[in-house]
Amino acid sequence: MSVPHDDTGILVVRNLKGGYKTEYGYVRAVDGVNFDIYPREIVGIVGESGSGKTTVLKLISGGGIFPPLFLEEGDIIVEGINVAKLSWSELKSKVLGKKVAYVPQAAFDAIYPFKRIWQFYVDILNEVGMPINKENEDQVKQHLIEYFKHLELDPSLIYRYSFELSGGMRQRAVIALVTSLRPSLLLLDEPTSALDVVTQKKVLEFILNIFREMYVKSVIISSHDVATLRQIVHRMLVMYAGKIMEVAKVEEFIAEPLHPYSQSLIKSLEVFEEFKSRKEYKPKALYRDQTSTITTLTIPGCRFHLRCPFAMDICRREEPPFIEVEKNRFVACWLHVKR
Amino acid sequence: MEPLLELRNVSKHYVSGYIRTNIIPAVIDVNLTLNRGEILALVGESGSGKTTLAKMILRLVKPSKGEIILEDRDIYSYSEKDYYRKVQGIFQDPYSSFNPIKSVLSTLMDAIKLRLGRNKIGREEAIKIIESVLIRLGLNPMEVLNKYPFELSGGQLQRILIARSYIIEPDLLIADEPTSMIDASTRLSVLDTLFQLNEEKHATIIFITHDLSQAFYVADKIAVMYKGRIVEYGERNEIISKPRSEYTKKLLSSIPRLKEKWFGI
Amino acid sequence: MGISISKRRNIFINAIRDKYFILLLLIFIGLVIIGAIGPLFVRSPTRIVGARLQPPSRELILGTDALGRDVFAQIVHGIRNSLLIGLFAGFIGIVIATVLGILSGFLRGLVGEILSTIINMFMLIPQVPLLLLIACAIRVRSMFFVALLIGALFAWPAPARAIRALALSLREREFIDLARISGKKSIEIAFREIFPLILPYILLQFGTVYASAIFTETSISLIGLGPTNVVTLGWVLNQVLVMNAYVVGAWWWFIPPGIIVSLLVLSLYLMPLALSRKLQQIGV
Repeated sequence: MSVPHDDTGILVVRNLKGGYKTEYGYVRAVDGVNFDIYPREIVGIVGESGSGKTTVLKLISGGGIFPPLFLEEGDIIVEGINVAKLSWSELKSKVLGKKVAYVPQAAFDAIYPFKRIWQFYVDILNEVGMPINKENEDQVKQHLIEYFKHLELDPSLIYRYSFELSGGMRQRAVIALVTSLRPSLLLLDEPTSALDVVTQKKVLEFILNIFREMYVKSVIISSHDVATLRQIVHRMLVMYAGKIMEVAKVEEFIAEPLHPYSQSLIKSLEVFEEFKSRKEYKPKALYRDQTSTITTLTIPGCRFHLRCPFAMDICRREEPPFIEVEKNRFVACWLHVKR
Repeated sequence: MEPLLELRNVSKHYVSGYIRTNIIPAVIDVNLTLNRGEILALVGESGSGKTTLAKMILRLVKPSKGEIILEDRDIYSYSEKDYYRKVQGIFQDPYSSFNPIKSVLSTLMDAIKLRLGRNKIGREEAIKIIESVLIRLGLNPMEVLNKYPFELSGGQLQRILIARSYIIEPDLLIADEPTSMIDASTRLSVLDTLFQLNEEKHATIIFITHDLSQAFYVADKIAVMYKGRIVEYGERNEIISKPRSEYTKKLLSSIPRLKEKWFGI
Repeated sequence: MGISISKRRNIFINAIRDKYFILLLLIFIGLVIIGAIGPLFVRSPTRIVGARLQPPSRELILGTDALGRDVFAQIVHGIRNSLLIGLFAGFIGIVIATVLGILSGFLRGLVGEILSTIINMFMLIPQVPLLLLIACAIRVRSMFFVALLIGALFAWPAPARAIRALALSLREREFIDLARISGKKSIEIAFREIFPLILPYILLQFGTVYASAIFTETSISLIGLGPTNVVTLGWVLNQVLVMNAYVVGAWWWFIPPGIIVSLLVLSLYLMPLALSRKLQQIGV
């Protein structure tokens, strides 16, 4: 299997496999994933639920230590440090907050509602091995206020309770909190999915701003929505059923998607783009229905072949190799393998 | 042509607590008219009241004020069976729309019972009807009938819900965000299936969505809801070219498009 | 609860493998066997068979009580009758709890409120004073009568509340809306859609209800208000109290019944807990 061989990235992921262990069995949500993230770029991971995109982000941030998440094998090298081989205390002291910051989906929704924003910040500092004591509390608050002002967020927010903020404000507040530590790599899991369209735009702008102001070096954002990601990413990574199907610069991806799955995504969006009416335009449904997740993860051959209109014999038997068709342009598809 | 559905000054508010001090308005003063064969898109964000409105039309929630008129009669003047032969619904989350311990066949049999009345038809015949409808909508009966909901994908389940409506042949179908929980690449084929219902069975459809671009694809008429009120209502082409409400304009400019770049990256 | 029926069997089989559950089950089954066939092999529990207050011997495994009756026979018969009364009462109780629980949780408006209030009222009935009244009015009480009493009055309110809570939570799910727009009436939905979904939970609850019924019967027999025509473990304890077994140090008489009742009640009560804990671990 041909893998990307350039090791200059601030994140190098090689042959990452991991998943969830339950009493009932082990589900490998990420099945052999290879990619690099370079300094000063925003990369989007696009995939549906079950594609593995959330699991990849969790593993990169060291979550593989906590069951039921389980890091089976592979290397995750962040600025020279292999996260896959670290213990929890090493993760806390060397990586979390400083090299990698992870914001889960709808971050503030599952949290104890009776804490103020600055108190969350104190919690985060504890989590990343930088606990503070009473004397420093005021300093910390001051630092937060300055930072919020800089990001054009209302500084009085830090005294509010999380439930007092709207969804969009909350999301921006969390992102602000974790990036104040200046992590090299910011990981955002579906940061705008639960938000309405208007707020989505604001949050995307906010993320872009943080990137431009260099509070972080690079950002990885996962989402199921190509059109949203497209607005702020440089490169796109497509995941399906635990594997990467395509990697490309975002313009190339939209203009000429190589993998049939990518094509189906772009095609279905193009229909709505033009504001065409159903009466004018009836797209042919080329793609067969999605099968259930269990089926998809256990069939032989290419994970997508059951739905692919171009499926050939070999697609049903063998998994396609992950090939670099041009510089930094990868596809996992038999159609692009020269015989 | 007389309208199929009319909403006159329909409002709904909820009262919280036993002391009944807090009044929460969900829907405020909605007026709508729908003709036969039309597809109306109801667009709004979460909290706009669109789902409450859908539930009121489906008789799942009683309006606090106003009337809902179907074919010139108040909807509550119909018996339950009569009403649900004329009006049906599809909900957002395909997985919670099915009873998890009932097979697909069992759920679809309920639809046959509604349409034809109990015991008026043998089991074999009923299954034949179900199978033919499924095939018509692009589903393989052997693959889905004896399965339970968790064994199928979201797209398949939504199609099955549409099949259910197909069996019942309602005059009016309320589809509440039928594609928001489905794979983007499957969305089009689910929409297509809905259109089949509209074309072949002449069902009038109210398509509820938060996605304005999907609304443009789907609808003849569009109503935009914001905080319980309808802020824009008109023909689809007019709204695309000349939106009147500020909110609609804001929505239009916030739709992420592949061809547009907001921030110049 | 997105699991099919065949998967459920698999899960159950896995859950049953829990070692605590198996231990409890074995204890319970052991007691059931004793109760089922024991009485065939022992003497009559109320016949005088020897001298009074005899300590255990080869002839009389648990000696005799203050009147010279076979204590072992009393225990064995007691196990059977306590089990039977508990079963009967438990069954009546769980049926009432299911019907009232589902209806009060599912039906909206006045009816639901009224049913809910009824459940709460029954929870507050003071057992002992009521039983005293009944005991005064009805001097001769068969075991079935007592079982009926316990089942119909005391055993059902607590599980009814739990079932009600479940029904309440399921009421808001979308498939219930779908059932409504399929033209189904509320009662039909309550028992055709909600009941099958809750059934596993109800079965688990049955263990608890059974245990509490046995415990209730034992307590009321202890104070002499239980059945008058059969020997139950509670009755033995009543005799122990009334005839001062403790004072005279007849340990063979006052220790065994207590232990047996505890084993019986605890094994029944803890089995559902062990199962549900195991199911939680599996992630159901």
